[in-house]
Amino acid sequence: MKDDLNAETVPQGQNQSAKRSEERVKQALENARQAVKPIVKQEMEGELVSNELLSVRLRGLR
Amino acid sequence: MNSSGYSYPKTDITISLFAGDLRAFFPKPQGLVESEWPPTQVEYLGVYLRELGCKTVLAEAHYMDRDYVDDVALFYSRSLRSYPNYCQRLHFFSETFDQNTWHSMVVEPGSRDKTKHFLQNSYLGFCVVRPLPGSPLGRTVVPTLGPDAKSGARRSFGAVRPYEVHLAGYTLQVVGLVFQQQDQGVSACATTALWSSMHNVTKAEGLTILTPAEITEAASRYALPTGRALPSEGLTIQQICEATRAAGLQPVLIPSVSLDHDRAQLLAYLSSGFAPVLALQPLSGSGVGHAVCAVGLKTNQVRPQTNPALLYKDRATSVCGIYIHDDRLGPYAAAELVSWTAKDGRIRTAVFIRWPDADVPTDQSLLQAIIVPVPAKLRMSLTRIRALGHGLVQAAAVLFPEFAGQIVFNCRYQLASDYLARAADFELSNDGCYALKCETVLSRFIGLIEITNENEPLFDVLLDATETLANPSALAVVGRKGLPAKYHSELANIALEFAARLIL
Repeated sequence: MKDDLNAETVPQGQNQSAKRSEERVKQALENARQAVKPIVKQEMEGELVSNELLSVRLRGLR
Repeated sequence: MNSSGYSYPKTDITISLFAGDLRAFFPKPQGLVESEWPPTQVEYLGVYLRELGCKTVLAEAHYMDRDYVDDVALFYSRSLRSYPNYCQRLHFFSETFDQNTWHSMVVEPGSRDKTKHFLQNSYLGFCVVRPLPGSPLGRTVVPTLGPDAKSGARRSFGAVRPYEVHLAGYTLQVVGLVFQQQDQGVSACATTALWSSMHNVTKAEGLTILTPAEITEAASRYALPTGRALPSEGLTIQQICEATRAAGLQPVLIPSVSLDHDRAQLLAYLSSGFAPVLALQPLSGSGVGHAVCAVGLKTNQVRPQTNPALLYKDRATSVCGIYIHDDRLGPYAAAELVSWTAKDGRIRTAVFIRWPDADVPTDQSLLQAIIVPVPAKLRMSLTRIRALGHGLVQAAAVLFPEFAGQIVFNCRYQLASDYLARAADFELSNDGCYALKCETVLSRFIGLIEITNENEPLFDVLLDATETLANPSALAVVGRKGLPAKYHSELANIALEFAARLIL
């Protein structure tokens, strides 16, 4: 109830501006997510471990 | 049996001037020695100590070394030859003093504080000399080189820790990471590299530090692809993972994919205090792999973005080299990271290892994998943190247009307690400072995405590292002093999108 009363006291213009800023950030994050998708995919695929790798023997030489 | 079998060995402390190498302290054993004498590791340590400005060597004739005693118990005690269970220990100092001065320092009670100050200020660490004919260089801790390399690059060593040393009633400290030469009886390169790698993190986590003998035993408990555990024929990567788990840690296994990817992983783990084991394949074509432990980073300027679609830079591009403990060579050996076209045409990461005073690499290998022992509660992979970071910094470059092209992101882990201690310098508001320190729940380790404008911090995103997914696991978005107030509403909306607390 108190929140509802507070909401009524915020000027409508200010409310709309805040909404626009929120939308802009949301859009920027979504666009960024799409832009970096190839590089993220490449890094994620690099994490796959093969059995061959697990069997690599490390002995070194003196 | 005569009574001498029950007597205690004699001991003494002798002081010698450092003559530029350590040959005098490692006499050649009788009989044929397979390789050249002194061993490369002893020569390397001599060169390294010269670089550090060593002037005096103090030798303890009798020293019980926990790691060597375990080697004896597991392996050498069953040999025909009677290996002693004790070693010698050498201490290195950057000041000159002789036997008489040392005697005075020990016996004169009035000068105790002054002596301690003198010894500590000039202390350059120690090495244990094992009574093993072919591999005398045991547990060794020496300090790292300074932060400025001759080339203008910066050195940083995130995986080192303080070691306390007790000497004639004085407690001295050296900051470094433990190193030793492989003995090929109990430990080959992989055991030694893993032993170094776990020394910092196990101590920090309050776990028992495994000795090389315990590591080899743990690695061979369930899998023995080489047929026998001892003498050690090396470990497979799977066995390294097994031994890591036996120590109470979890192994993060990262296959080497590309130079960019490997640099990002090394930067993140090393700057977070974790020392990765690197699995290497010699470029010479020999079938036997090798393991080393990465200890530090060599960084330069962050490089410009090469992808025109992206508006940010990646801190990982500043990594031009690493410092490694290579048990065939010595501690903190410089290694360059370069792109290399392999025989199959793939672009791989090559590691060129150098002596401290040489320009020409002594060894060239391909990086196969990075294995990082981490605390069990650190579950969120760096790749997932970076996945979120890439998108976040790209969006930030759009939302904060004055920083576009200059904005840099970095991902790593940090203890929440360390982050909160650092926060005192963040110039947060009183409300923000209180909210961060007292009203925000944080995991023991946080995943940290740092967004900066070149070197001025803009904002941080703190992630719950006990989760597996980076999103939605953001705990807080912290505005830093480089972010102008006009962008605070955008930052508030970023925090809203991540369901994280905004701290300003």
